[in-house]
Amino acid sequence: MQGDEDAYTGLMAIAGDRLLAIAYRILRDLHRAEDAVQTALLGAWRDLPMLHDPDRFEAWLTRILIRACYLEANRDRRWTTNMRVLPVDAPAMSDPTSVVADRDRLDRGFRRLPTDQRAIVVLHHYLGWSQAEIAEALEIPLGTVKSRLFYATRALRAAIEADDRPITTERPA
Amino acid sequence: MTPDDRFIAGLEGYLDAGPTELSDRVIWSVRANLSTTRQRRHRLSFRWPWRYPMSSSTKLLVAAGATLALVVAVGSGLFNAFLPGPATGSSPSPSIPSLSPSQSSGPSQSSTIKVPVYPAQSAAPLTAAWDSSGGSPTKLGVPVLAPDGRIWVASSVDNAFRILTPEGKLAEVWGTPGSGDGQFNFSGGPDNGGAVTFGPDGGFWVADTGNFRVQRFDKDRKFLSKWGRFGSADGEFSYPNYISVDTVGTVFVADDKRHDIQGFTSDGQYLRSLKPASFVTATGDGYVLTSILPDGRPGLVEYKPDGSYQGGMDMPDLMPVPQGTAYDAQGNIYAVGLTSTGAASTMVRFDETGQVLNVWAAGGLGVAVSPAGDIAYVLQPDDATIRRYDIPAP
Repeated sequence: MQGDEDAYTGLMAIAGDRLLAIAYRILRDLHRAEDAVQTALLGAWRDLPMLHDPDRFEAWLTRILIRACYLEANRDRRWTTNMRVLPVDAPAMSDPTSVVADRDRLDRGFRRLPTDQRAIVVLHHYLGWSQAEIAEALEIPLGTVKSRLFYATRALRAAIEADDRPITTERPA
Repeated sequence: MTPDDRFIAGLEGYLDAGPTELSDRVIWSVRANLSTTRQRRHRLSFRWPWRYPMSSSTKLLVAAGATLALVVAVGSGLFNAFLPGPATGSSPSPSIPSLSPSQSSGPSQSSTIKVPVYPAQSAAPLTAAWDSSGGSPTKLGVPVLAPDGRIWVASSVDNAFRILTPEGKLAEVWGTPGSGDGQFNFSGGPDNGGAVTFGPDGGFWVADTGNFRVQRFDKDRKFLSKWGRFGSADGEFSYPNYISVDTVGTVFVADDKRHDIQGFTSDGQYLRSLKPASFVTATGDGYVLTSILPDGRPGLVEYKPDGSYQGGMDMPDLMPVPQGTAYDAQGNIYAVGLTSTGAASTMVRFDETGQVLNVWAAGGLGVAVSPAGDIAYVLQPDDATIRRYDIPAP
């Protein structure tokens, strides 16, 4: 049993980087992404006996991760819902490398997307999976993949265009 | 390049940016959880007997039976305390019924409240924690649950740990006074000194308050290493009386005079500081709980693993001065505290999101909770005892 755990841990150390990359790009928060990866790795350990086709390991593990991302995204961070958050001075978070306006707008738009749409966007545009591959991996209809990708793309464009609108600067008389 | 091409290229460039390497601490945590996954319901980081808090013991006069009356009195502000906006303690809300001791074995029978309140009288004090020979509760450290289920309480009279069975019998006194390796000095200050925190393998770290240092021991209580000296620089201490280790072995030490928390590697290499702070409870996943809000008022505060501020809340009606926190295996948070005059106020069980699950008239200076969440050990401010409360599991 301990040997199994050791072997699994070694395997996860290899697969973990890829999982983190996917989870971060969906959740856009490192700590949440790490939580999702933990959830996925533990879920995979639990469900490993149900994996009958080793060739589908990558898709199987990705599906578990995506579900973990859904859970993580739907779970409000502790203390964020029922607490009185006190104002503090915001740390200097400006990143000199992210001065590209397009990327900032994309980021704002992406964060507004539902998690299921984010996942499709990441799998398609980051991993380069085809829509059919996504449908098969996530065990959802191809039409669902297409529609989510369509709406996500449209929403991203709309968000970017909305951000592009000039801001009214009229002052009250 | 068409607008569509530019959009796709921009999107793919955006997605390409970001971390691509999983932290070792996640793998470490997964490994630690492999054998315990089935017991975890929410959080997946490894949790073990917790850590609690601290106290400041300036005003500890308590009228007998005041706790129950207090809870009734604060009932009108109970729910408002957790809503955004200013506290409105005078707002009308369902009253919290008083329960007689005979009713205390179960939840409130009232159907008008969502938060049952249990009277403190329902618990029998574990008087073995203290010999009552002229001592005071400020001479006791907060209770700590060891992996074997026993309760460790530092005593500044003995300069040793009093180790109790779960039933409250004094099983052992361990430790010798002094400043040598493996010896302790838990005195030297007004507040309770001395604390311990356990790692998953049974090894532990001791906040050796009066010697201004931390000592590390293995599971067989063999001295391994020490670090720290008196001072205000990084890695130094003035009154280290709370200690808590997280899942990756980061040891957090709260200092009651510096009013900060310092984080160290398991071997004592200084990592970072958090301030202001009082007690410290490291959760299984690297988050840290303490009880001083950024503006200096008392409240529950959480910091992220990277040391940044996560959030906080004050509870002026329910628990004016939080004194300690603990976790059960499901990640529920238990907080105990005092009133503004030093009397025991309440013990509150929150879920991970900060939602109040239960309130008991069982405040105190520190708390330890069983993994199942069905037993709480609370250091009382008024009678120099640790009280065991058998409470409904969440």
